[in-house]
Amino acid sequence: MRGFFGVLSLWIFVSLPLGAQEAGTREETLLRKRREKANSLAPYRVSKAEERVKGLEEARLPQKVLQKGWRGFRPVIGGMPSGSGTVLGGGYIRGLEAEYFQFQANGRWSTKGYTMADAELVIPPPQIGRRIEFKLRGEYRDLTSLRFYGLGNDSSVDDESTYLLNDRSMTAYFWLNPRGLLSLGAMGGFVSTLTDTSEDGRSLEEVFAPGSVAGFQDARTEYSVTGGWVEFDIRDKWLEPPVGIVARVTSTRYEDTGLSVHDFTRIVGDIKGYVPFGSRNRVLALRLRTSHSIADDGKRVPFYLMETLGGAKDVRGFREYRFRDTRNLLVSAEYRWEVWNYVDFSLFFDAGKVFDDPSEFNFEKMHTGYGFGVRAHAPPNFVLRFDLAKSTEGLRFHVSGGPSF
Amino acid sequence: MSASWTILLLAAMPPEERRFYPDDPITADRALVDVPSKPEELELSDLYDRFSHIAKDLGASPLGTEAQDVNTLDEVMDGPWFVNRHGAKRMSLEELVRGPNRGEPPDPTETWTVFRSKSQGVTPGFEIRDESGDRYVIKLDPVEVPELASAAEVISTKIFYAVGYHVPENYVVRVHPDRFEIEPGTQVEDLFGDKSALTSFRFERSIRRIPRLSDGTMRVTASKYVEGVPIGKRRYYGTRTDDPNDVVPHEDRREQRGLRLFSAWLNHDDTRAQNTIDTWVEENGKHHVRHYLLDFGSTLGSGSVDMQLPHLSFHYWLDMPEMKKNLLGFGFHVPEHRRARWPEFPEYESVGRIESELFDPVKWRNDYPNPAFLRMTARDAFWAAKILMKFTREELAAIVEAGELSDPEDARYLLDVLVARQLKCGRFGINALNPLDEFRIENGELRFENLSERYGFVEAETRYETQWFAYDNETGGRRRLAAFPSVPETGSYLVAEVRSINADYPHWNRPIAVYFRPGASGYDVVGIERESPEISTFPMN
Repeated sequence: MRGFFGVLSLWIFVSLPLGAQEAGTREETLLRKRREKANSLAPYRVSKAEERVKGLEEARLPQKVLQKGWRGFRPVIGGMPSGSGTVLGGGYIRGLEAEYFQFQANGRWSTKGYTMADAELVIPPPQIGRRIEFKLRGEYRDLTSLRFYGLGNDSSVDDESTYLLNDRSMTAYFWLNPRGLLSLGAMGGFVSTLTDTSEDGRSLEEVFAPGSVAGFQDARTEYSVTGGWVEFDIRDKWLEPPVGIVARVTSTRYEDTGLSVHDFTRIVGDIKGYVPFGSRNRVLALRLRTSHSIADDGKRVPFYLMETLGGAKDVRGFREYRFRDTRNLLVSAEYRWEVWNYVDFSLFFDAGKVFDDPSEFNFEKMHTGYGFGVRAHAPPNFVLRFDLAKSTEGLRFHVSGGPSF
Repeated sequence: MSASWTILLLAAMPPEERRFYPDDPITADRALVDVPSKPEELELSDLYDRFSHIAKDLGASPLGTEAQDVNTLDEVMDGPWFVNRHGAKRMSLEELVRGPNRGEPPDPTETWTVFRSKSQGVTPGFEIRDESGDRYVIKLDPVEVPELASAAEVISTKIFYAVGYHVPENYVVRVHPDRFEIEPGTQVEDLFGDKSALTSFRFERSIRRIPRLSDGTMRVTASKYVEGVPIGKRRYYGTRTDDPNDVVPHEDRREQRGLRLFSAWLNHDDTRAQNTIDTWVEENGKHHVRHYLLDFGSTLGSGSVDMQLPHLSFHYWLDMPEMKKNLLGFGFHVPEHRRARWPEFPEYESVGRIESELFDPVKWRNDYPNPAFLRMTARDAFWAAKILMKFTREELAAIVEAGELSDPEDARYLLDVLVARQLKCGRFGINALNPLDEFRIENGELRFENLSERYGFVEAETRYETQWFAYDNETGGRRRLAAFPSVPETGSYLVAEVRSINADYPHWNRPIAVYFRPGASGYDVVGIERESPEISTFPMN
């Protein structure tokens, strides 16, 4: 290549008009300057570093490896319940750019020894703007050491114990007008559940009398699950909205088709509001959520299907599953401010309680926590969240995906 | 004589040479040496380009250095980078509306053969060949916001062309999906960069969501391949090492620096190397490299794939000082873009996010730092403002109309915003220095125009002080004269130093030196030396 430029330079030199070699005009001065440069031409190239970066860009490795995989086979990170530790796995996906359906199947393992397998079919696939969505999901989980602190709002952290939960489920979802102003959903399926002694830490029965914890060490229990929801959504955007309200009421019916001792209905109300303070770069986000699991006469709500409080999604100053009962009430407030288009900071306050008696549905004896958070987000739905929270039980640091609310 | 005065003359001229040559002022750069072989194609890394510019200023010259590619009148010459058009000679309405278009758009009643899927840039699209063999890049509007990107692309193309830049022919065309045929062997690149055969089925599927008009057609932008053989991108700093004609660092080129003001006006935040193309062209049997601007989909209120993001154009994409303020401000520091009052959506979605109330040409920011923009001096801004102010409201209305926005209210809003932004840019650039121009001698008297007064940018009265000198072009010596000589001195040039005295603009007191050369019919203007204010008083960065 150097040889080529040498020849080019010489060619340019000899091809110049003779008069150009002695500047008597402006044009000649320009020609002289250019002739000088013609003697030292070189390829117009990028640096080695830029070449490497371009190679990486074109390879699109993160997308290819994590999203598309090799012929659809790809690694999987996360996706287990909060508190599972580091989760890695492998999966297969088909239909990433398809128009009619998307299918994926994944296997996951966590550093706490949990295993999970799931398969999901979505019609139409998420990348297609749709008015109707159908999803069929099957799941197998073997969670070997979930925490249990006892039932009720006064459970003690000193009573921490663990249990094994093994369940498998198949559920179909049908969603009309997802992410629209008013959307409706219905679901139906079955869950098969088994709880047993955990071999990691103090097992539940070492701390609590097994008979006092409904559902523990029952024979495998089969449930049919049906439900529906109504959602009203006037958020101006789905991810980290600066203004709007989203409210959802969900009703789910669990029929214990095997033992016939755990039939109950759960009703959940969840409302989130986003109020900008004069400018969209500062938002007060508020949430009120309450869940009520109402057992049929003579039946009980099994402990493993009760709602819990604690962890990255609710009262962040407490550990996952810290409080558990048939009903709960959660209030969260976050002051979020924009630092960059893709990063928000937040100060938050959470308060929540669990209870069994409906008369306790009030704001007394709430467990509270507060803290500071950083969120990195990018459209369409990527959120990486870091929360440092303080409560009466110390400091908790959470790293999680998805918005807090 | 200040240092900046000496920089006026072309860098090519050694200091010992005389100030003016017989062929000065030259208005067209014809001294191009032949480039007989096609230079290599340069492909840049988007990420590297972005972050290397964020990390440091890649330009070599100190900030405040004046542009080096101007002629003795302080103007840009016609050439591979720029052609003086509306600024030099008023274009007719028809010429403005036609813009760079030399022929007709691809005929939508004929077959459009898809031969490549567009793999670069953020606007999805294809490349086609029409029945006459011309090749076009076909760009689609955002699915949710019809007309947005195509209108912006066409309007901005015509304005950048009229200003003087080399731009492609861009057309809004309505074409029926049945007109497309896939050339055998055509490949399509998926989201992950993998290529596979483009089948009719895949093609139809990819355009299925594009809104159809009542006659079943869809609106697209057809961007014609530019003239010459493409040789890739160019940077906004340094020179092409393979182009002998490229002797002035790009960051020190007037038209590259002045592009900042035009970009601010048109909200072209995407002015970066990736949106340029150099081509190897032949003219009169010789070859040279021509420099184009490309891809105006992210101009005005459009962000190519959606409406423009609110923060872009107010801040750099990664603006550390702004982030620091936000971080420590706990939300009580309100970024400028959060104060903006955008047009109502969805009524004005086809216009997108563009406004004129908070727009400030000084604070306007490109996507990320551009070395040429960082070096824009008052003289560069004045040059750009002079051209920009040549566009009348009527002319801009005709150009906006060419964007074919279906709702007249959208066009009206856009026109109002464009005119308001033009006035802000014009006021800033014209008032940046002593705003006198159009010098000539009539009936033995020096005549000129105060552009600030012409455009209504100054309120207080201005008075002028002129000092005449005789000037020896061979020695550079000056001799003070009491007045303009009634009898021309043989062979002697004249210099008029003109100061403008205005209470509101003390910096106009800096003189403009206008050089006159005796000619057959009197004195001709041969040189103009303007002096930029001190860099510290010119708050561009």
